[in-house]
Amino acid sequence: MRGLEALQTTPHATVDMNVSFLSGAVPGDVVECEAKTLRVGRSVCFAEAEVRNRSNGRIVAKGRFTFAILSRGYA
Amino acid sequence: MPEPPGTPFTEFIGAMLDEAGEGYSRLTLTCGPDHLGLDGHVHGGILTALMDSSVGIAISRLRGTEARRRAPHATIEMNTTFLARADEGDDLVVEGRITLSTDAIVTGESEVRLASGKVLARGRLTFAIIRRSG
Repeated sequence: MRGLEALQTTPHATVDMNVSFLSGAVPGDVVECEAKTLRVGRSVCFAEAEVRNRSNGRIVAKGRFTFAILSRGYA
Repeated sequence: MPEPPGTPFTEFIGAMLDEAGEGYSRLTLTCGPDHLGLDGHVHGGILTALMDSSVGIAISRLRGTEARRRAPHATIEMNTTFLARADEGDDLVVEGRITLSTDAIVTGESEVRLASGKVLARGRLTFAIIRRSG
């Protein structure tokens, strides 16, 4: 969404992450994760992600994320 | 004397268990190239995995092997704040503590620091005690 050039000049980094773990997964299960942005601002991005277990259709985990878009020169 | 933490995943990422007592644990990890993300800094998932493990181990030491076998505990919620980034070669120290312990729910908190004392991340975790029905 932000593009490679923006990523290189002003990288983003996770500042906050809240995850609920709803069910487990065992060896052999295939899990898939889908992520989407809720809002991409100039300095902050909000996003969410969901992990699902393909073996039984259950939601494994659900997360909400806040990313900061770092200005150039961030140490 | 540091020892392997005893969990396959935590050992896979290279953490060592420095100290553990009832309701407390301390893990250490030296960051290597396999711990880095796309931006060349240590991936946040390494920090969250270590914080999760530190509190999980603290709970294990409090509950004991037999209680854990009868009713294992599992993370159901984790809230993390990332304050600063870690780089390859950094030595991470991760401390986990229990803040509340009941029959059904245990909460804890964890902190990731550099050896210098600089705090990189803080986490609050909730574990459920899973009792098998019947």
